Amino acid sequence: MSALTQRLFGEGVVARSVNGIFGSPKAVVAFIVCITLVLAAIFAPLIAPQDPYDLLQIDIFDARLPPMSEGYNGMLYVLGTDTQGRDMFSAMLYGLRTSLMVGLSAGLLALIIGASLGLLAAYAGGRLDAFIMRIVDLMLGFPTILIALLVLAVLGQGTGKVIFALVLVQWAYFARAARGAALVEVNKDYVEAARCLGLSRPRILFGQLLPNCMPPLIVIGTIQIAQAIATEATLSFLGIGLPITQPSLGLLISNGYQVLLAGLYWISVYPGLLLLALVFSINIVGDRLREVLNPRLAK
Amino acid sequence: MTWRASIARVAITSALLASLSLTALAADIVIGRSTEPSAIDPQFSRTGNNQMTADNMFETLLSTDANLQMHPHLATEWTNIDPLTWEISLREGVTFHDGSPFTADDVLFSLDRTDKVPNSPAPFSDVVSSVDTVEKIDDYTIRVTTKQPNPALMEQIGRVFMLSKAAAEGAELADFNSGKAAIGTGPYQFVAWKPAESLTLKAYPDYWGEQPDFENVEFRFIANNAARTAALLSGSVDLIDLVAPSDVPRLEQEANIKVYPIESGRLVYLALNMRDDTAPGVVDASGQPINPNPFRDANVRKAVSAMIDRSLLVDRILGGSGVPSAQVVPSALGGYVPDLLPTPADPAEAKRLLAAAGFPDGFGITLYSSNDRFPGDGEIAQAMGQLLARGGLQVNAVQTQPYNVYAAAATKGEYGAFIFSLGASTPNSESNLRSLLQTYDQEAGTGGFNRMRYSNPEFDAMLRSAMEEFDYDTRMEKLQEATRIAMDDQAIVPLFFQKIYWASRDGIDFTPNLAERTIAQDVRLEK
Repeated sequence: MSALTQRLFGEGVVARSVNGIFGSPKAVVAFIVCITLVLAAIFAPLIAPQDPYDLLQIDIFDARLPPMSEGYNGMLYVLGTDTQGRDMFSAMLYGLRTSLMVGLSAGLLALIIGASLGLLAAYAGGRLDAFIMRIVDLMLGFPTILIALLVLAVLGQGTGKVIFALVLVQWAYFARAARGAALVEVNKDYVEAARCLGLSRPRILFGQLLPNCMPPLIVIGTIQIAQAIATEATLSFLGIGLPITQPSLGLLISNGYQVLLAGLYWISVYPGLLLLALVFSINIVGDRLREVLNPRLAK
Repeated sequence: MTWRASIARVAITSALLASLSLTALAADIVIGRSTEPSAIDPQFSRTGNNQMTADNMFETLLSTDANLQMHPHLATEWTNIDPLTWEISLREGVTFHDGSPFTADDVLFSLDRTDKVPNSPAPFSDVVSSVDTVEKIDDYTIRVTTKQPNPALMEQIGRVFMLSKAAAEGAELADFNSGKAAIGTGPYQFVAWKPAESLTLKAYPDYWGEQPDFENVEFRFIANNAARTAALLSGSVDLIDLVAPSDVPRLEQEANIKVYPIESGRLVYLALNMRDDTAPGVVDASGQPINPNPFRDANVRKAVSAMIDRSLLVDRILGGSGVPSAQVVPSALGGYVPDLLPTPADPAEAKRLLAAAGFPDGFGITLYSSNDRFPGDGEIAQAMGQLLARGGLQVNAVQTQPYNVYAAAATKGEYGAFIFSLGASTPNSESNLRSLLQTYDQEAGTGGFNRMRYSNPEFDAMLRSAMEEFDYDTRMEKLQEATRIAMDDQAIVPLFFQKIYWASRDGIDFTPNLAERTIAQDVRLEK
């Protein structure tokens, strides 16, 4: 493990990433936006004036109020209310929380599963390699949204199920990237040395190979987290993702979309802007990391 | 000048004027429809989208008016010789679009073909299932015998679309779709059908009934609600159906747009599943399924009903596009019970009933609903969650799914408390009571939509007695009595009847109808 920690925190990946981000004003702004949104999501229960997931706290009498309206019980709705009488500001904070939670856990789980299989394929070679990579090809051959739709149609709604569906459609990207990176490394002298020292297979895989394959994985990880958030929003928009009483950003947009022509723009537009800001900033950071960490692009 | 010459002059002038005004009337119209047919063969499927397409070109023995009541049409009168035998007179002077006369042979052929259409996804079989024999007496009289006494025979065979025997015998689906076999007696005749795009018709000049106002009609299929509204606003279509309730206020503001509302026969209701010892999603405080199933207790069902403020649902969620209900059919239909009205929400009564059923602290419940079947269905489910939570139940989740996924699971009994809708297409409540509330029996084919498996012998007996009653008034009274029995028992929790809307540009008139059908003959030039 020491090699990994050293590479990550010494002159390694983290240092290069941080320096890289601060080398570009565009990336700095995106990074600040990211951090702000993550903090807002974490502290949502403290910031939000209302728990929008508690059916007893929202009041249908306050439905469809425009921004800056005062409600039936004297509460000020800064960004208005949705068709159920839910405070939009609170709903967006909680929705952000749900979206980020789903995106991060799906992205990380997919990274762990995908990277492990990719490394194993590269290191083992032969039939196991062929087997894993054919499954990867198969998964990449299907449209993401189609698989996720099928899985959720069978399993039903729920946060856990959405994460499962997202991991299922995303691990293959990590597996392919990890294998590609590991194939370059696997014949290098230090791996050969480790093998001669009689280190166990897991130690070689995760102690030696993984740290050297991290840069591309981090880049793909960032992009895939943004991708997962967007996919979750799409699924919820199609009415098959999260429960309607616990709206994520995608579900808020979907609910508002139905009344957009009737002039209730705030229900759909504000969550839409927030989702845009979130996915856009993560992508900018991810792009910058790719520029910094990719040896071919490094100057 | 002689009086003869002046008469001749007047006659010529008026003929000229008449022909002028005729050409002026020969307008064209484009109608934006939300659904499209799956085939042109009128007997292929009894789904609304196919039937309202066929209604333009084909006709039935009885016609259905805007309030779903049936009137003599191609059949002019009928008499019962005895409870099993009916003699039916046919309208004379009716011709098919190819010019050939409509006679008893075409009726015999059409009735016989009704349950023999291959691959039909929703066959008309049950409308002829009671028919034993059909014979021709002369060209304009037929005699029908039934297997059992069937007072509703004319309402049933009156729905069968009449085909031309000469054109349709041996014809396949493709022959209808190309127009070759699409020969009816209706006011409009087939020109072309482009699936997913449009259906073009033209007026049939020798139509026996009221002449249509339009020479050429184009139905454009626009599934997306917003796109349909936009098409009307931009003027590319003259009339649209199924206007989204949220778009109605916007359209009503437009000076040159007319909106046609009607209280439809589509009931939105909450079903409480009684089929097993436990109901999915119905749990105690520790999350364990409650056995015995609370929904088998009428007190619990009544308590749930008493928690619901129906006017609030309709006003707040649907913007007023609904009519609160306490029974299965709307007031325009036979069998409606005038004094069975929705009561306001009564939380105290709900609490009392729950306590009487042994649940003073309520229980946990999951609500299920579709989210794309009718306007606002997902929203309704969520608001119902609020209402039930305020009423004393622990609403653990509100799950909504697209209708295709949802309907299959609901039919299999996978939901405990679920929101569903049922449309009306018959003149009285019999058909809906039979499919929704009669005891489910797969072999006998009863209770097809009784997804909650409600079963009450007293109700079944009253309904059966209504079905066998020949006297119309007594039959309606028995249907009312059956409805009372089921609603006293809170077999379902009725919520509201949906209001539906059409909208058109100025200059034309449309007659809205309970059957949710959009046909060219109901569109007229403004007078």
